[in-house]
Amino acid sequence: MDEKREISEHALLSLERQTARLIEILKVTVIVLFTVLLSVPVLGAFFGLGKVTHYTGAAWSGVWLYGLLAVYAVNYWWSIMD
Amino acid sequence: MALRFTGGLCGKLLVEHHGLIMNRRAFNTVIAITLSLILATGNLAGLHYIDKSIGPGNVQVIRTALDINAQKFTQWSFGLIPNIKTVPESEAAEQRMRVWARPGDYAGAEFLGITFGLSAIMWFTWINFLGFPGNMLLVRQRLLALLAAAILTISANLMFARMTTEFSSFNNILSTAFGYFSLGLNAGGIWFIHLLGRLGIGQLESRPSIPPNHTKDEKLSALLMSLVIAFIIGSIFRRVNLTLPNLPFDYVIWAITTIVFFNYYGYLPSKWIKGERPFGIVISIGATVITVFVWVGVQYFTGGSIGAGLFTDAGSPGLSLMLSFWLLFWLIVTNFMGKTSPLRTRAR
Repeated sequence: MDEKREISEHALLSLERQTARLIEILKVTVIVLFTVLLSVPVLGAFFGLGKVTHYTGAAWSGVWLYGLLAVYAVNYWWSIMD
Repeated sequence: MALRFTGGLCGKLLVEHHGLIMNRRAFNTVIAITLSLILATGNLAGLHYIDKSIGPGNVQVIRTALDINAQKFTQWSFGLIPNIKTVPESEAAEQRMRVWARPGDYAGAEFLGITFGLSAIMWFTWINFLGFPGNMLLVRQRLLALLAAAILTISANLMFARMTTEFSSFNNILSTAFGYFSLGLNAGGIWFIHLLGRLGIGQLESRPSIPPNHTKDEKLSALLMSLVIAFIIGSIFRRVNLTLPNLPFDYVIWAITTIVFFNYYGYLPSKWIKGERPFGIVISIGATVITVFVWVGVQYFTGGSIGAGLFTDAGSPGLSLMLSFWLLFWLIVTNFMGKTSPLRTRAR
């Protein structure tokens, strides 16, 4: 049990690549999820409340821009800039 | 994403053959800014041409036909592209046609300073993704990604427009759905190219970039604080009537701009004065102010037909979006210039 485990260069590289792939998938998932989440009230106002309240607004542009908020927030979260 | 900077071919030639006229990095930045402004001009000019071709007093309506129950339905090609015809406004009103667009709904020439700002950000991001000027490796893959992003944003926006037609009772479909159509197209373009870049298209290496753990608290604080700051700035602009009622997304643009500022220049003010960062901040703010005044000039000399919503009879309702969009553009530009790095690793 005392002996160190040998990890081959290939295994390390493979692990590193799998980690990278998982991280990228995670980032895309977070971007898409937050885009949908943040645009729920906008879409609700657009479709649901149109008859009840006065609503004028650029709904789908708002959704895209909430998507950009998610994009730039994820970029910031994963950035290594000090 | 492929947003890393390396020396460019054009810049190298310039430096080698003509002596040191201009710093290579500065030269590449000038090329990138010029090209993105030209492409944005082409983008908006095309949409403005559609606006002009409708003609004053006319509107675009979607062709309708009667189904077997004698109910009207709108006609679409491929389920996405509306079959449009241009009719006089009075005819559309008396026959109760569904209006697709009025002149000005595509490019938004009255507030072109704002729509042009988003378009400039999109083209700068796309050029940056392509690696031009600079690292032109994998250019074929990256061009394909740009093509995919263009197709995706056009089709997604047409889908949104169709959803607006089918599920809402509003008239003036394009302006209801997007404000101005160019806003939807360009914002979608930025979103999709980031997403495709994140999915690994056009990347040479797939090494994980994991930020150090000690920055996590700071980043969480910065993200929450950016929302607070955006709320305060947006509320002030709204309170003093410097926002446009038909474009109600100035809060989210201020949040994006704040997050981008924290990303590039750091959350703590002590980081803002490191390395070349003060120059970057000064360039961003100064260039934003200059840009706003350029647009005031454009509006003055075109008599308001091309404008930015500044110093009009109704006040300056475009100021909030003009400042936030152009500040975002110049922040991205100063990052491309390398002004955000705190350490001077080599002579530039």
